[in-house]
Amino acid sequence: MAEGRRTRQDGPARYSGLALLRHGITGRAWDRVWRDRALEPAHQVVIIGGGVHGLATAYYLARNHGITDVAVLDKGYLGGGGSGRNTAILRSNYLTPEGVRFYDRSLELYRGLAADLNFNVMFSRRGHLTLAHSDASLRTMRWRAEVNKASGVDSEVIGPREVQRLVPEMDVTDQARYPILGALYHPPGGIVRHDAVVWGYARAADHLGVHLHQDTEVTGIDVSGGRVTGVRTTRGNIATPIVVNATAGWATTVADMAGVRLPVQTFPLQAAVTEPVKPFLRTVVVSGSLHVYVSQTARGELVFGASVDPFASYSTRGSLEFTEGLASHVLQLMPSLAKVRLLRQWAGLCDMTPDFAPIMGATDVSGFLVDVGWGTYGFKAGPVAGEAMAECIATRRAPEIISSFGLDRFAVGRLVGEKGAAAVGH
Amino acid sequence: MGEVRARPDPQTTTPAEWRGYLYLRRNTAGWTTESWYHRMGCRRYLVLERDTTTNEARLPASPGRGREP
Repeated sequence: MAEGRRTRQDGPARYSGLALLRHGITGRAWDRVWRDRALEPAHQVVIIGGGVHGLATAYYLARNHGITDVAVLDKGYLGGGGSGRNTAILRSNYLTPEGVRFYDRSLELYRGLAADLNFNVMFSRRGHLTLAHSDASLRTMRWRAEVNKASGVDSEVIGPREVQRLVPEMDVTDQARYPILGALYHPPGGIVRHDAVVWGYARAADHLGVHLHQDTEVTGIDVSGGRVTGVRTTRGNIATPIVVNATAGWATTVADMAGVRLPVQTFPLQAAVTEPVKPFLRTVVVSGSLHVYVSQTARGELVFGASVDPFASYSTRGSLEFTEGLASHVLQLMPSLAKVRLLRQWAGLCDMTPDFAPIMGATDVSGFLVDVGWGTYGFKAGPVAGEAMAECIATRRAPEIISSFGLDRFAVGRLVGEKGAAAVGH
Repeated sequence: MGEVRARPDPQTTTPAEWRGYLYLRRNTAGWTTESWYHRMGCRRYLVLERDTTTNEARLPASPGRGREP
């Protein structure tokens, strides 16, 4: 195999240590990671939204089910929405058995993703701490730990002294405004490089024949006799029997085009990152009571996230209120960070549902599928959501793992009780 | 309090219609009419128009009292 010399028909050059060395010596440029294509007039499947969910769906459609006549459309650039704005935290210690099973499958896929995609996604197992500042939250954590353990997920309630052993910088004294009474410790939790996940899926999907279209906004969805027949875009029309809505914060605007109403409201979630400092924080730390989560990236930056803004909006402007509140909460946990400077802040749009669980699968319009309602927990579910949506499209029925996430649950009143674990708990 | 929406009559509504009232929102990207509660001030409910893409707010043409949820 002549690395780098292979034509595109054979797929892109494989990434490896040897390929890196060869490129370093010869100075030859790397291939583009995915191709720009002309818009085809028809496709078997059209996926709206080129984030981790849309791209993973396309990839698993091609890899697991041999369906390669797929187009992924994005109105901006790939990974420019929630996929590039989240805080890249992975965990599976949810409260409901269906939640635990679902997110644990996602974690399993993330663990093997770099090898699967031949793309380093920088998965880093760090251990995940959810702090308890009250007896009530400590009780919920014991509950979560037992549900987790019953599903074979490593999860344990630990005391303040063990918290301090994991994070010596943490203020575990009873002098704190919200003293730390204990924590739910979830060793398999960790972080990953979110852009790499997007690029890795895009490259692998492109290699399998999927067409990726950036700067291509969907302006309408054609429905005739209760069935999807095509999509209209700013670059032309595509005839297709299957459209997948994977547009997160914009989910209702796209569903409106097909005449489908979703119980989704869009809220911004703000996050911020500090200047890089020497690595000191191994674990991911979350405090639901203080509405904050903290992790340190491989580059040494501290990434802070919070809960969603208090009112619905599509605005991604950051606010000073947020930075002030965030800083005060972080300093209550780790006072020694007082001198660390914030580098930047940003916001992403979260498609919140009434029960803090996603909406996946078929709708009343035949051929119009949704993978939405991902709120503040969409990134960690990307791989499993893609895998399940691909199966849903290929077999024309929702796989068991997403059976409780159907849109019909709201009409019949069978909501998922994930509120306690998903509202802020990253 | 969110989007202003009509509450169906509990005596005559169907379960599906009631759940639609509970869970469905227009979630408009643009100008929308909302009910707000002025918690830190006069503690009144009021109706406002807001552009959800810019958060610009204005009083509606016919200002009115908002409704408690």
